[in-house]
Amino acid sequence: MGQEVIITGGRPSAFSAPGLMVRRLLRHRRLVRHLVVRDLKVTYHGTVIGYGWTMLEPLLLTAVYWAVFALLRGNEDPLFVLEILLGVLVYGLFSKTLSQTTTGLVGYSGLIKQTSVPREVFLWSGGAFQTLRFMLSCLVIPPTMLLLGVDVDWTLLLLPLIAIPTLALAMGLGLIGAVMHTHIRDTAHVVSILTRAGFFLSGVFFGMRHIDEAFHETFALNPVAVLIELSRSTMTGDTSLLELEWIGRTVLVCFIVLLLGSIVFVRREAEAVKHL
Amino acid sequence: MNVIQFQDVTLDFPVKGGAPTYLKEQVTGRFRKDGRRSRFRALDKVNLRVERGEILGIVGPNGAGKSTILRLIAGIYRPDAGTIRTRGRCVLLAGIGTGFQGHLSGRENIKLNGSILGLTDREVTDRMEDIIAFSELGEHIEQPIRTYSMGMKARLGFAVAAHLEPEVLLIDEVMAVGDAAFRRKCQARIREMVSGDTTVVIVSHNMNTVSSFCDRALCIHHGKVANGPGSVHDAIAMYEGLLAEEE
Repeated sequence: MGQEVIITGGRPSAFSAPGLMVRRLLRHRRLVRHLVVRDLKVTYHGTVIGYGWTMLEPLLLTAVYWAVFALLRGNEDPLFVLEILLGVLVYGLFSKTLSQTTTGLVGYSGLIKQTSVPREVFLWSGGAFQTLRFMLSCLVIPPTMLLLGVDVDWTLLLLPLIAIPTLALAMGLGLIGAVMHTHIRDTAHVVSILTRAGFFLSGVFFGMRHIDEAFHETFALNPVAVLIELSRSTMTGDTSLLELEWIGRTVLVCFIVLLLGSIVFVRREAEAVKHL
Repeated sequence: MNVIQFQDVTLDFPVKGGAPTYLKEQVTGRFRKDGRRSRFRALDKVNLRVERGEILGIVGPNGAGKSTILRLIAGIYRPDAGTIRTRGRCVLLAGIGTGFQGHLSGRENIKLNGSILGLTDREVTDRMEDIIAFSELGEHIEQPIRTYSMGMKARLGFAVAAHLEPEVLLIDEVMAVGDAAFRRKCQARIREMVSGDTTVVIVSHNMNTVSSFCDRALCIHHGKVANGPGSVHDAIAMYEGLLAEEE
């Protein structure tokens, strides 16, 4: 006979909440894996090129943005194409994870009301799925660089690491958004508008080198913009445009947001579930 | 030994009022002396104890709070007041086939559904052939679930659930899946499961099911225990009396 479990109405303390979430996720790590595999199979089910879409989609998007923002303005710098591609990939990871997590509790309401699986498992499986897509998409970068005549530097190997703070930021905001969305269904629409606005404010189709130096510090207040710029620096190995302080601050902000998100979620999810 | 124990368990649900109501309550609720918000009391100071190996039936009119009790035991909801103590792995059988994915095959869905219901990968692998045999789906098991009829989906869902081997089994109106022959098979399987040490709580509107399976029963009405837990006969009589009053 198993250990006694005592369920009361008390909320976990803010101090214990992040640890509780980590323990629940570790206990259900196999389910997270199954859900990620399911999402991969379902997303690319019935398509001709299957997982190839993870690479073709960002390439096609880049072609469109390059045509609009570079070709029409007469900028044919091959590095610019790659900068846009990295912007598309990193911002895609952030915005898709944030949107999917925000709608996660409502989206999984059928399962949530029938099983005792901790709710964060469903949300993190979405984040893990988006990260896997990002990693697969990154495979397209080295051949694209060679095709455009740009040397491939070893620092490109650091690119997947950018996913860690990006995921932390998106999940932190998404965990808070998921709780809010159960109470106020307008939340998903607001997040959708904000991520679209963020696309233009985070330097997806322009780099730090394209804006006046006087605005660099202000621009670096946007953590997603710094993460995109950092991903670009892995391509060239040149971090001269980014100050170490900005990078440190951005990474710190990402993990503080994740910490806050996990505290809000663990303390509020029991009440949120009643609204499903 | 008590496997399930409710002590003055109370649960409120928010009254559906949409975002404007929620926002208004977030503001005005802070200024109310009693801190009360517009909520529906689903359960009101419910007390109950279920011994190891016992089969408890819960009856009551629609909306009485029967399924809510099961979800509290399963840990899906947390009580607003009171304490719930459980011992052992609890599995809720409700909405058979929850989480099935139409584009995946029956076999792939067994893996996914088993994992959602708490089985390890090894347990799923070990029980896979038994589950397929129980479902009677034969070669269809390799086909995507979207090609299945409702009856086939229900059979597969119950087959997974029937091989969970939990210590506490919570059954919410899922004993009427598939055709008559498969229903008999399901009921035989449940009898087999409950003949051991498994503690079972059954919610049903079918009084034959309750009287033939349960050792004790309780009748719930408007979130309060109207009768029991005690004799199955008394709980059913109370339930039928309540139905007659409502008519």
